[in-house]
Parts: sequence; structure tokens; C-alpha cells
Amino acid sequence: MTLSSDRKRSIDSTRRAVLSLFLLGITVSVLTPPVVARTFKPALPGYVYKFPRDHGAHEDFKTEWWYYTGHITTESGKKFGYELTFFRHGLEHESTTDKKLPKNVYLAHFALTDETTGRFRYFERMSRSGLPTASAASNVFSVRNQGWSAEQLGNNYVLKAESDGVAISLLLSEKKPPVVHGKDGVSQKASCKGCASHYYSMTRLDTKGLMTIDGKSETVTSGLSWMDHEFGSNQLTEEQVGWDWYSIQLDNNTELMLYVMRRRDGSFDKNSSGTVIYTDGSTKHLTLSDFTIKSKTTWKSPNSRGVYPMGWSIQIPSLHINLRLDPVSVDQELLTKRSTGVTYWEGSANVAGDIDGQAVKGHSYVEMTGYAEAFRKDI
Amino acid sequence: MRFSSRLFISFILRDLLKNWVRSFITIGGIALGVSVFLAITLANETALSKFRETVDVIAGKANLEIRSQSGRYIPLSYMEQLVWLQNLGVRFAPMLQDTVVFGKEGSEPVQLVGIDVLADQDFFAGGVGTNESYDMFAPGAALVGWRLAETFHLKVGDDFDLTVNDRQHKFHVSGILEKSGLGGAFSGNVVATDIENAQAALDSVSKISEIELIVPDNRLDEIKEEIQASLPATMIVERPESRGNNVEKMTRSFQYNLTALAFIALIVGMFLIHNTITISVIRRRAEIGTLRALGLPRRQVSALFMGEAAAFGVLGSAVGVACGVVFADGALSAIAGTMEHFYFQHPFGSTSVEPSSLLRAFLIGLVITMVAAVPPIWESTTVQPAEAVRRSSLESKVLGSSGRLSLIGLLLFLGCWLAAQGPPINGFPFLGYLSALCAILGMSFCTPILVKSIFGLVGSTRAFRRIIGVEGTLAARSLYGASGRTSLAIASLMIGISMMISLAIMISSFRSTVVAWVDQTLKADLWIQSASRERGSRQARLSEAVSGMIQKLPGVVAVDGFVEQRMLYRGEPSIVSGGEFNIIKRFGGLRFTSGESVDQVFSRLTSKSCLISESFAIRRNVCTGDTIEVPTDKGIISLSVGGVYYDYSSDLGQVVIDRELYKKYFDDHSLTSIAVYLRPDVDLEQARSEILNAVNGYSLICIRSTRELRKEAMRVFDRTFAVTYALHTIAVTVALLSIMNALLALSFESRRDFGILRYLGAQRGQLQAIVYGQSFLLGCLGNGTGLFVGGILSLLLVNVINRQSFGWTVQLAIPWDFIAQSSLLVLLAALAAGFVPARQAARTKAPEVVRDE
Repeated sequence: MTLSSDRKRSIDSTRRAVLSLFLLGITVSVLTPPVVARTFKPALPGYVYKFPRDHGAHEDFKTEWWYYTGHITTESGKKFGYELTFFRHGLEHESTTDKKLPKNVYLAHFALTDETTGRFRYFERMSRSGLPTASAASNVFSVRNQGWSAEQLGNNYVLKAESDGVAISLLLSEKKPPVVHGKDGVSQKASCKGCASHYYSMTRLDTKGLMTIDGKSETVTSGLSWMDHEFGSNQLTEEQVGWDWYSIQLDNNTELMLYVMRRRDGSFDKNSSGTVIYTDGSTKHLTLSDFTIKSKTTWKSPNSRGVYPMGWSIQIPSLHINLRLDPVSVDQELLTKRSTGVTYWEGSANVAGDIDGQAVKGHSYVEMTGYAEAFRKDI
Repeated sequence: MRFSSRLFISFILRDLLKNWVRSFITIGGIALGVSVFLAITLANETALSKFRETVDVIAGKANLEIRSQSGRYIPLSYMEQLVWLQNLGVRFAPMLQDTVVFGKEGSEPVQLVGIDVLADQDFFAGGVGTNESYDMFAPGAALVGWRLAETFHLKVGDDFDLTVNDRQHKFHVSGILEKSGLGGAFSGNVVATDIENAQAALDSVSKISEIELIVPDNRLDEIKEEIQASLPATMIVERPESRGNNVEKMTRSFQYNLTALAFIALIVGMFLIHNTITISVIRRRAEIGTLRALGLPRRQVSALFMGEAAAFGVLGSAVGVACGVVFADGALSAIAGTMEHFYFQHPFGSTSVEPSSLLRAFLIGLVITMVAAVPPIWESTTVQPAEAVRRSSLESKVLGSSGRLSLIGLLLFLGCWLAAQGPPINGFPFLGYLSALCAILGMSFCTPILVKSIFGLVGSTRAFRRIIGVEGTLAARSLYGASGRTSLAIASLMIGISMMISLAIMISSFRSTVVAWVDQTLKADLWIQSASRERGSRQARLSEAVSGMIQKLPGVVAVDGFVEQRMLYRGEPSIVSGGEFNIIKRFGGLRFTSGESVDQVFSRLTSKSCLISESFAIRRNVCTGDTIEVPTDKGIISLSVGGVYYDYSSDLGQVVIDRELYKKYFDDHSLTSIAVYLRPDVDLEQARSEILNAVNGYSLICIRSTRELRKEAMRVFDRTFAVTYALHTIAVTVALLSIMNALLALSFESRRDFGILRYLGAQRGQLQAIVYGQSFLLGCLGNGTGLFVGGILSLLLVNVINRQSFGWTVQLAIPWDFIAQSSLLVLLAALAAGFVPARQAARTKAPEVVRDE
């Protein structure tokens, strides 16, 4: 994204400009008369969740995503990690053709990690409102982007994605109710007012279905998925360069979510936090002071030249939790030039460790952003 | 060979320079023929290539397009059904485009192109001359083409208006498109905007013009078939270039006929060269004989004359190519109006000159010259050394074989009649043109016998001598004596005149037919169309609500909303229209080819009936009672043809259905025009202002009275035939050149006769009178035969060529006054052509000439 060095723009630069304007936060055009007709709400404390309504899209907020990650096993015993993510990014204009329809850009990422071979594949989609190829419904949970979709069916969710001979068609069954992160309905990302999102997860979703790889279909006999749904406006500040996020599903029916916001000076923002979800669905909010995360090694991406930490030790002394996360493969980096324009690492990792002295195992997904380049604040 | 090149210089070139007037005329004739042919070809080619160029740059890397056969739009929702293609590596993007008008006034057509600004960069590539970021999602944000920016001094940040249908829309310049890529579309008169902005402006929410696809090349055919199989019957997937082919199909008749007319100028030029070489050969039989006696082989004799023909061909064609390039812009602007009115809109600008077209025109000129020179050159090789001393063997041969020639002529006339009965081939009247060629050649072959009998009669009958005097008799006899050359001169003149007369009769017939048709069909009092259609956007529409608003006004008896829509009928561009059948029935306004009244025809119409225009009936070979399958937005429907009506508004062929039926099957409620019927006592101007008031603020319309509409119709007609007029003037010019050429040669040849006459005591004035007499007689016979063949050609043009090309029945209307005037002009021109030879003849000194003998 060397926008400043671009001497001559092409139409393509419109795409890039759009992305940069809204996702990367480069100076907004001064040429366009600001026909700003749509204003976005900040994520403020006091938000009361109501399901299933809150599974759907929240057009009052600028940025929203539905993140599915999971670990699945096929009938032949092969294990895969998958990621299927849908983004909605609100534009600050009224729709030109239908005032009732807000203008949005829709993006989606689909990644698959073969846990046996370590092979990592990913695909992306970019669409916009005004065309029938993508949408995110507000009244029900139905998000679609060029043939990929996530939809609710009672307490089940259906995920579909297909690209270049790789496909998943999964049925996810809710084993625990949605878990709201943060405090008072907001997950604070920085200290400023509204620098936050509304964030909840479905931390234990039994997964079955069908998957196709290299044109060959197999039944998914077992699996466990995690879903994050987050929406907000202007969550990040200038000082924040990226974040690390961990979703951990342990075989003792406990889950753990942690995220740290990394600052330009290398420190963690004090608003970094986490949540422990117990067997019965009850939760405990964690603040930065409750946990430590250290990594053993690093991996330098040959594609983006970003240097990512690898192999993490997570300790939560107050809860006697010691966990070690090892990526199933180091190369699980996504360079999403054709959609969000963001380069990030999102990968499957194995978990081992102990809680209260009891050995535990499990699976996790780790997300690391802002290592290849500083993440922009305009999320 | 050194010998022959020196011989060529002394024998041929020196002679050409000596007879520089004749050389000049011959070269001029060829040049004019070639230049007209080239200009028309270049104009035609440019018109199509500009369109193809736009298709190319708009398509970008797209190698397939999905479009509707039933109209302008396809439902946007269709895109969703194509998602499966992504798994085959296919990328696709929607596009919406239409011609709109720039600004609040003026008539600059602009192509509004709506694109998905987030589509893959391989679609719609194009440079934008700005360094700033801009937000194409903003309402009204637009990238404007470089030419538009230049013409209207637009710069980034400026606001501008587009008149779209009956509304005006504000846009602002986010960037200026450079000449490459999308910016080159529509010759730079383009406004690119996000698809939603375009949909809002074109009032076509949830509709697009086409879906562009980039399909991996190695699987293109296979995927194309798969897509076609998945499409509804009325949608097609094609390569983008095929759009150019459709436009080519639409304009084919118009372009072929223009080219054919231009070709006639070349044929006249062909006679000119034939004439010149023949004279050249005849004049120098003695020298040829001498050269032959000196041992020059036949081959070299013919090579010498071939060289002469080639010199004419090369010079004439070269000058012709140069002039053709100059004339081409004029020809293009002459056809541009017609193209835009009847077929497609595109800024044509100036002609693009393809070297291959220049080379082709040059070669055609050269080859035609050489072919025309073959018979006289063949003749030159038959000269025997001994024969050389005798003069004018061609003359005796022509005289001797005039009977055989006229037999060939009669056979050609028979061929003319037979070819005229033939059907069009591939939609084009090749046989009609063949028939015309047969008529011209037939008459040419019959000319010697006419010359022989008429001038023989005139020269030897006492009664004539009393009227024309001794000079006239001598003139007639000298023409009789030189009947070979005389016949050639007359034939050239005949061709020019026949072309002029036939075109004049065709145009006059056409015009009077259209006048009558306009009078009989324009029954309403006021005619309404949208502002942008008025200002040049041919496909622009009106909101349906306007019709309701007018209906409510006092004094309005009835309102007929009419909509017309381009469609593909069996792959051929045609028009489907919706009209208020009950109003047509009540007020008439249609004339049927069967001669039946409107009531008679309407009494047999059912709910699934249509009326078709005569063009449609003839060109698509359909008649009353047939069932046709018409693509609509809701699928293909079968319609029974209730009647065939006369229509001269388009040659594409129109299918008219009742508006209710139209609305049921087409996802389109807008109108192309509205006809308003008023109470007889209502004042037109008052009604006009009341209508304008009623729709003020809602719709921008333009109202015409029937008288104004009639005037406009005739203006369009005259503009359409402007090129034809120009061509016909040029043909006449070439013909006059050839008569001058013939007379000059004739008088030169007559020098010996004039010398003898002087020797015998003839006065200078008498010699001049003989030359003028010759010119007059040539003019008379040329004009007479020209009128005869012109009559035949006009019948062919009206009843065969036009009918087969455009599907129009035209009532013959002969412009007697024009024929009288042109005949007079031809005779005057013939006499004027005699001026120089007459002076030469008068200067003839008896002793010199006789001494030569």
C-alpha cells in the first residue's frame, strides 16, 4: 500500500483508495463534497444483548465481523483447522438508489490448514452493497459473500465456503450460550471513550458436515468451532499498531479468550483483556494484570517479511493456569491484497498445559495483526 | 528493354504530355472515382471501428458478456446465480451504460458507464490523472473522460449536470480519465461512476446492462456453453466483440448501398479510361504499324499501352487516395447523423486512416483502369504491319459488328430483367445491383447500333438536312463515321446521366412517399419526448406518470404513450414497441400494406397479436397470419401477426404490441414518446404551456406540434440522403468529364477532315458549327439513352434494391422538372465541352493538314 508514492492512479486505485479510506485510515479525500448522511454509534457501556437479534448485522456501527475458527476431523481421520470470516464495513453515504439500504463493503476470508501436512490455503472475497452477491441481514443472522455464507438455523449455524477445489459445508451446534466479553457490554480496546467494541463469542460449537479438498469430498465426523462476533466504530487509537488474540478450547470443557493490544512502543495497552468460560457457561473477566503471554521463537514470513512470535506460554497465576500453544504450522499468514488489504497471521495451534495441577489439552486459534505493517486505526 | 523504356517515353509519355488536357481529364476522372470510393469506405469503416474500439476498451480484459436479447437491461439479481463460476476461476462484474446528454442545455451525447468500483482491477482499467484519493462511493462522484473535460473545461472538484431521460442529475468530477482504457471509450466522451450512482441516474434500480466476465482462455468455449445453458432463453452470453457485429448487421444495408453507389463513380471512371486508351490506340495505328514493321513484337506493343494505362491508373489512383483521405471526414460527418438517428450513437470525430484501406482503394483504382484498358490494348496487338497505313480499322469493325454487339446488349437486358426477379442474398440485393450493371452494359452494347441508325438517318435524310443544315448533317455523318468512339463517349455520358436520373427519381419517390406517410400517420396534435431524447440521446425515455398528468388536463381527448425497445429477433437487431391499441383504433394513424382499414385489422386482433412494420415483414420474411417468437423480459412469447403497416421511421423492423401486453412482458414502464389528441377547439400553444406547467418540476420534456414534427421528419430524411446527393453530383461530374474527353479526341481526329473542308472552302464558323453540332448530337443521344437506363435503374432502386435492403415500399414519383432541367444542363455542358475543340477546329489551316496527307 504505497499510496503516497503512487504517481499515477488507475481505476484500481479507487479500490485501493476505498480500502485505504475505510480500513486503513489514510487521509480521507478532500475532493468529495462530504455528503455524509450516515453516522455511526460508538460502542458504549450499557449495551444490552438480545439474541438471536444480535447475531445479525448492526448497521449503526461502522465495522463488524463474524469470525469462525475451528478444528475438524474427517472420516478418513485427517485433521484440519479452518477459518471463515465475514466483514462488514459501513460507508458514510446514504445509498443512492434505495435510501433504506445502507452502503457497505463486504469482505470475507476463508483459510484451511491441513494439520497433517501443514499446508495452508486461503482465499478472499470482496463485495459491496447494491449488488446481490453479498449481504448481511439485520433482522436475522444471514451473512453472504459471493457464495460463501453463514446462517442461523435455530440453535445451529450453517457455514459454506468454496474456492479453487477447497470447500466446507458445516453444521455447527451451540453447546454453550453466547459469552459477552468485557464489562457492561463493551470490550474496551483503548482508554478513550468509544474506543471499544461490542464483542461476544460462541465458544463451543460442535461441528459436523462435509468438506472437499482437491476436488475430493469427505464427511466431517467431528469438530469443534468458535465464533466471534464483534461490532463497533473507531475502536483503535494512533498508538496501537496491532493485536494478538487467542481462542483456546480445552478438553475439560473450558474455554479461554485473551487479547492484547500492542502499542507503538512495544508495550501492551492496559485495556487488553480476556475471558475464561467455565463448563457451566459462567465466565470470569480477566484484565491485563491477570495474565502473561510469552513466546519462545519467531517466524519471519517470506511473503510479507513480517516477523511473528511463535510458540506461546500463557500463564494466569490467579487461576493456576499454565498453557503452551504450538502452531500446527508456522506459515498460516494471510496477505489479503484483494480484500481487506491487511496482512495477518491466523492459525491453528495445539494446546497443552495444566490447570490447578491437572493436565489439560486442547486446540486454539491465534491471530496476530500488525507485524507486517502497522495496523491502521480506522476499525 | 532499354529500347522499350525509351520507346515508352517517346511514344507514350510525350503523347500524354502533349495531350495534357485529355490526360488531366482522364486522371481526374479516375481520381474522383477512387477518392469517392475511398472516402465512403473510410467513413463506413471508421464509424464501425470507433464503435468496436469503445466495446473493446469498456470490455477491458473481459472475454464474455451476458446481455439481454429482449432489451437494454438484465435484472441485477442475476449476478447472484453466477457465483458458481468463481469456483471455475471466472471473475465477473456488472455494468450499466447508456447514452445521456451533457449539461442542462446543448446536445453533447455522453456515455454514462456505471461500474462496480470494487470489481477486480482487470475490469475497467484506466488511468486517472490525479494524485489525490477520491471516494467513488459518494453520491454523484464521477470520473470524466478526457475529451469531455477538455470540451467543457472540467477539472477535479467541478460539478456538472447530466440530462438523463427526463431528469437532470448532478455529478462532480472526482478524476479525469486519461485516454487509455476506459477513458478511451466513446472517444473520451464518457462519464464513469459507481454502479449505484448510474442506477440512480438512469432510474434503473436493480437493473444492469450486462455482466462482464473474465474466463480462463483455455476453458472459454466450455464455460460459455455452461453459462448459456444456465441462462433464461432471452439472455445470451457472447464475446464482447459480438456487439460490434450486431451494429455491423444493423448498418450493413445502409453501408453496402453507400459503397455500391460510390462504386458507380468508379465504373464511370472505368469508361473514361477505356475511352482514352481506345482513342490513343486508334490515333496511332499508323505508328503501331510502323513499329510492327520495324520488328517490334506484339507483346511490346501491348506493353507500351499497358504502360500508358498503368500511368493513368497509378497517377489517378494516387491522387484519388490523397483526395479520398481529405474527403473522408466530410463523408463521415455526412453519415454520422444518419448512423446516430437510426442505428447507434457514438462520437465519430474524424476518420481513422488505415493504410490497408488506402492500399485497397489504390489497387482497386489501378486494377479497374487496367481492366478497362484491356479491350483496346488487345485491339492494338491485332494491328498488322501492312494494315497500319489504313486508318480506323476499329471503326469499320465496330460498324461491322454493331449488330452482334446489340445482340449481346439485348441479352444483357434480358439478364437485367432476370436478375431483378431474384431474392436478396444474405439480406443484401446483390442480384439487384447485378441487374443494374446488366442494364448499363446492355445499353452500352446497344449504343453502336443506335449511333449507326440514328446518326445514319440524321446524316442522310433530306428532311433533317433542312432543319440542321449542312453543318449538322456533316456533324451527324462524322459521328456515324467514328461510331466506335462516339459510342464510347455516349455510353460514358449515359452512365453518368442514368445514375443521376435514377437517384433523383429514387429520392423524389422516397420523399413523396414519406411525406404522404407522415401526413397520414401523424394524427395527434402534440408530440412529447424527453429532454434528453430531444437533445440527442436516441434511446432516452419519459416517466410513465407524465402520460397520466397530461390525461387529466382539460381539452385533452386522448393520450397515447408509446415505447420502443431494441431487441434481437433471431439474432437480428430489431425493435419491439408498445402502443395504446385502443387509441390507434380510435384515431387511426396506421396504414396497412394489405389496404385494409384500421378497423378491419383491429377486429381480428387477439390478446396475443402484434402488428409488424413492412421492414420487419420483408426483411424477416414474415406475413400476416404468421406466428413470431419475440424475446421479452419474461421469456420468449409467441405472437400472431395481425397486420403489416407502412413505416419509414426505421429499417430495423418493428413489432408493435398493445401497451398492456408490453407492460406484462417487459419489465419497463417508461415511455419513448407521447402523442396527445386535443379537442378541436383547443389552442395548440395554450395546450403546450398547460402541459409544460403540469409536468414542471417532475419531468423535463419537449413538445412538438404535428407541423413541427413533420418538418423534423423531413429534415432527418434530407440529412439521410445528403450523401446520396453528393455521390450523384460526383457521378455527373465524372460523366461530363468523359464527354469532354471524347469530344476533345474526336475533334483532334477530325483535324484532317476539317483541313479538307477548309481546303474545299468551308468557313471557320462552319467548322465551329460542325463541332458544336457533334457535341449537341452526342449530348442528345447520351441524354436520351441515359434517361432510358435511368428509368430502369430507378425502378430497380425503388422496387428491388431499396425494398430488399430496407424493406420499404416506395411509390414511384418522377421529378419531371428535375429531368427537364438536368437534360438542359447536359446539353449545355455538351456544348460547353465543344468550346475548346471548336476553337481548335476553327484554327485548322488547310494546307498543313492536307500536306500531311
